[in-house]
Amino acid sequence: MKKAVKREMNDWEKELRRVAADLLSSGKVAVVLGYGRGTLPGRARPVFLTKAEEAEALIYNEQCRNNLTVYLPRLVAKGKVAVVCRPDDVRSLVGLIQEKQIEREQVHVIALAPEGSPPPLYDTLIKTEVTLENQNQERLEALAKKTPEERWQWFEGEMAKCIRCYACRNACPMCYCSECFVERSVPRWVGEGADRSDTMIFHIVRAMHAAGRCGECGACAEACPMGVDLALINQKINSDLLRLFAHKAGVDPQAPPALATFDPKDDNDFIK
Amino acid sequence: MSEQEFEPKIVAFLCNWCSYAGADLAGISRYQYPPNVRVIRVPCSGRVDPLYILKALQNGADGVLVSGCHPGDCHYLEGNYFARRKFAVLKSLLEFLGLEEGRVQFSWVSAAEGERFSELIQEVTESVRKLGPASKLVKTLNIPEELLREAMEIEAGLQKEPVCSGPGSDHS
Repeated sequence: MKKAVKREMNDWEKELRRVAADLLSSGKVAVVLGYGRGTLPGRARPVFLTKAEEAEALIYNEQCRNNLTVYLPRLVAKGKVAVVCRPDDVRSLVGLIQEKQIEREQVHVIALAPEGSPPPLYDTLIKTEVTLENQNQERLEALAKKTPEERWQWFEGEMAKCIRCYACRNACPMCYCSECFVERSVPRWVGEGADRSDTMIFHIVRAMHAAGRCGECGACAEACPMGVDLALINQKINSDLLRLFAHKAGVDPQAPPALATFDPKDDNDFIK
Repeated sequence: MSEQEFEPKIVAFLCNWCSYAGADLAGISRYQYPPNVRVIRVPCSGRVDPLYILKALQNGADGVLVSGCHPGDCHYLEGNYFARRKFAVLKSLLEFLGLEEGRVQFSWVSAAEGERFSELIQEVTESVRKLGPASKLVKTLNIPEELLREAMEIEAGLQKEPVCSGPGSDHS
């Protein structure tokens, strides 16, 4: 982990607080959804601000690991929401707009991004030195070089950790279904409890449901209390989608999710 | 069980309009194919959820085949195009996770291809037979062996001496 960013003196936090206070005092938004200091050291938590004087609670540093867009589909009912977004969170937001869970007019996007890489969509852009490192592609390539048996052992090991708390699902902005397939009782698709094959099926289907929609924010892996390497399973699908269909989720608000569209010239070689 | 004796169980999801009709034609035309395949008729290959494939493997199928109309021939115009994208991703993921290549197979069979259907089933059956019984996603009950043995002994005892007997018996 990188050295903690100084708490008070950085420019982007000052700017963020000013923007939030302005939005709230002018009545442009009803709620500002951002990060505040958590109850444990080294952790940030979501804060929901409705008064301009509360803006001092906002922070932004490497400890901000949730994807706040997960709250939007229900929160927009309360009025316009200003949401603090990390660069990849904006991709989830684009996905939610594409899938009509929220409307563009219902949100004011406060994007924080390093210089030179603006997110695909924002209302206020604040430059920050906070960068989020993503080494999943390297790890994926290392695992892909192993034999199928070794990869299966890796998968079994990861699945053995899972306690089926569904925190990964709840932290994911794209998992907004009111009834999830794992909780359906008629038919009971996936058994309850920590059965190995049920756990595997849950994780494979969860990843398939996120295919072409996952914005690679890493909130699922971050939420996991057991350290299951979910990011790598998502990364596998994301890299396949890029390779097969040249698709990256949530970067183009006009482009539909990869599996909700097709090209008659798609790869047909794997089909007999 | 030796490899020669192993008869794989294969679940085949066939689309109503092409592949199922192709299977029907194979029957009508008296083309032989192995009885290892259990056909489930679905409206379209696009209807096949990855979950169905995984559930089949979990419940003891050694192989799964999904077959639909040829590209451009879909009864619903584009269902098989969507299916193709979905299956490309699923197949790649399952093989990445270490599932044997060939446990899950995909094909296009038209309503006119009865002979091709019979050849396809032979091919799929042979390739799954070579892989051997599936074990990777199969649900097992995880009952400790001594408990299982004890339960079987009790069961065997019950069969020898019925605990309760019906009216008219001399048991008192």
